[in-house]
Amino acid sequence: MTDTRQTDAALLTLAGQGDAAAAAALLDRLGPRLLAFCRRMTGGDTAQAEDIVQEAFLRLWQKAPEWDAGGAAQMSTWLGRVAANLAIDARRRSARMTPLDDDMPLADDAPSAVARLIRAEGLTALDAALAQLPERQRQALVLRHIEGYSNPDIAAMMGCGVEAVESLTARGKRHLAALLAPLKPE
Amino acid sequence: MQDPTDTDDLDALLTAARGDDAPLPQGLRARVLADHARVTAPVRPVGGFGLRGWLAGIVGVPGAAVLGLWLGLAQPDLFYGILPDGGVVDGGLAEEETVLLEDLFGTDWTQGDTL
Repeated sequence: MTDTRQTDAALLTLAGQGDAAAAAALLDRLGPRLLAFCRRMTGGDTAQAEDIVQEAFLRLWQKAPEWDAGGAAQMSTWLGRVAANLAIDARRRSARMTPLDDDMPLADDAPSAVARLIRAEGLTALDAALAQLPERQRQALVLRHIEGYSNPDIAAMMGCGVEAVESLTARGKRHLAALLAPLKPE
Repeated sequence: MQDPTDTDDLDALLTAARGDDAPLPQGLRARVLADHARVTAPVRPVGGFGLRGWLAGIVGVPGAAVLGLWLGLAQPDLFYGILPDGGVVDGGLAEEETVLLEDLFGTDWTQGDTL
């Protein structure tokens, strides 16, 4: 972890001095993971996810001269937080998606398909199901259960209370299980 | 109510997604690196007033002073030639000049006085 942090910090220092190769190396280290995260946060909106990645890296380049290599923030975490905020803000501004009803009834045998999905096309199915979740449920679920942020952190990002986050993640998880249920092999 | 085992499976799937990544499209990669080049490009002086401007100032101002002095000392005819009336002065004050001097110094000046 420390080596990763030092490598990232060293690359960012060089990138901040105009070293294009260092910038490319840093982008290749952190970009793919960030793009996958952004795609999930945006429900599979590739164009928007790419815009968020670009904006997050732009802010990283701007922050390069003052980046604290010995500070508490890990670069990938910092980028993820910036991207999460951008994704939440972007979705607040646009109401293009029509989410499912938050109180959608659950299938009785819903979650039992998950184990097989892990071995098959689990992640693809997961992304498809996440894309169908109501927006705030999806964001809370991704931030909590995939990215591992704490509930208070998520509450701060999403501009709501911790109890609301707990409710969103719990409902999101139930909805996710319900959406994955039809994929269960007979 | 969900089965705990199934919840664990869902958690495992979500955890598996944590290490997932997506290859960066070339277009996105190029845009990000173009942003980097723009942000870290050295700042150029506005209007190109850099070393060339300073050199022009250092050389130009003393050069103009020396040229003026040379014209006054070595080529006085050139200097007088551009003045009204060929630079010929009678040494006396004109009416406008007496008014100006009174305004400035408050003393009575008479037309035809010399400075």
